Amino acid sequence: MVAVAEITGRREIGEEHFNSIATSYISTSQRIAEHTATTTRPRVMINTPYRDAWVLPSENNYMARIISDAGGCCYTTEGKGNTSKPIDIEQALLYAESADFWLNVGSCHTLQELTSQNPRFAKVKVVEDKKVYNNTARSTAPVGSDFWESGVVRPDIILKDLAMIFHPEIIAQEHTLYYYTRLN
Amino acid sequence: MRKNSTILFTLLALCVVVLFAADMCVGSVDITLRDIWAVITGGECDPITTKIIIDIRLTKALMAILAGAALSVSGLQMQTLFRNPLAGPYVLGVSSGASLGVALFILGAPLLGLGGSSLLSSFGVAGAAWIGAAAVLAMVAAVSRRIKDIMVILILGMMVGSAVSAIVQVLQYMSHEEALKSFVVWTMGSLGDVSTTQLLLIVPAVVAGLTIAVAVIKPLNLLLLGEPYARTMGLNIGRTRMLILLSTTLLAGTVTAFCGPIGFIGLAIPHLARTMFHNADHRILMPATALLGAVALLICDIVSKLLTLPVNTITALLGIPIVIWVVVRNKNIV
Repeated sequence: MVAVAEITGRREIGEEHFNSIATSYISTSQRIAEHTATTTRPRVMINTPYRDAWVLPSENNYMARIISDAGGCCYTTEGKGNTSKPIDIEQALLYAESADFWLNVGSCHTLQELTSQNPRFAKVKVVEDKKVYNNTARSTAPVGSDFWESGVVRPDIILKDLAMIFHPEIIAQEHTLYYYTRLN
Repeated sequence: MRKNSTILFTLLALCVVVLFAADMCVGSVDITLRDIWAVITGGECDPITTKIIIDIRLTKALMAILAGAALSVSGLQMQTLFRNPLAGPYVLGVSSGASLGVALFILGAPLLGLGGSSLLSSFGVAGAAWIGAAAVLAMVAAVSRRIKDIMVILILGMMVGSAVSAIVQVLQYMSHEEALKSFVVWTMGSLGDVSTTQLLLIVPAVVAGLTIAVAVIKPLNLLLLGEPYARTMGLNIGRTRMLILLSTTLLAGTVTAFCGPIGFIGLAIPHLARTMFHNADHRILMPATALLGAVALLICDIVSKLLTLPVNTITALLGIPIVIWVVVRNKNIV
């Protein structure tokens, strides 16, 4: 963002925007950290299976880190850096059974679509409790996802969305879901 | 010779039982033998363990046996029908037809704005693949009624396969990331995506395909002598071809629809059976191929579970060295 501002001769405006995003992210994550020091972090499952394999992020992956900053505990695999690895469907089923939230469920827009594509996961608690959220609230023409477009430079909004999902008591007064939507 | 065959059949059957048990025990979640036995015999066990054993391990192991036998037997039929050692279950375009069905379902529907259609999603990937495979085979079968030379049908099948692959590539080129990934993963093959309900559809289709295969054992033996000689022996070539095509549609079409294309098994296992039994008689080869196919796919499934890799990569990586070894060791395998 700052680099583009520099190229277009607006470095100061660019830095101002960048700093406001960074400040917003840090202040939200600090509030969540204070809250989660005394409460339990919900367990979070992300992605959907590709046939009989399920790709999960490693501990330092950007998605696992933002979920952690939002007060969640993402199921991860071993690995260094920003990597993801497939896990066996048995392990995935075990994780899904104990998850409190399920996020980023591919192209599914309803619980029915999700369970018809993944019948083995139709009876897991997180689905029965309808605690499944997808990052498809905003799309761009023709088949793009705004989460992967503007979301790349607005991690503060993604963090607030996730905090809204995991700990609504902290943020419900000031934020409504922007990139995420609950599946019904 | 007959005594040797009996010993080999007994050993193969024993291998199937042992590997089936091993496949049930292998998985990323540690489950004790006692728990597995309790679930299978209807004893008490916690629900998640029961779900893993019944819905995942048992279904997958049964699918490995069915797919291994089905693909190997249809490969054997194709090799005899076309008198070509490189023929396999996919030579007539079953795999390409199934790929087209799946590509239209996964890649084409979102492009046409039909991604969320409930009518389309009720077909499922397996339904789309089955329709694609059956459509291509029906086309080849319809043309083959007018063509006498079997080699022309072989070429026709390959040409249809190439044309269909080109259409699939166009769809891939135009599709977005998520759909493309789903399609590519489908092409890698998987035994674990089959539900117990789907298994109830697969079993009768495969049993019907194998029954037809058994019914054409005698005609297949006659075809080994060449079509002109078989005709003089009173064989109805047209009817035999149709029965073999129907059997292949039921066997390879059904397995490909539910598991995706699984390479190597259909091509290599009949050769292994010929080498092992030193026999070209289909009364021996047919059951031997079915049992060897089941053994091979059970081994591949165990390895794929241990390494968390798609089964198709394992069949190729384990299979190709075996095929090369067989070809180098036995120059006259057909």
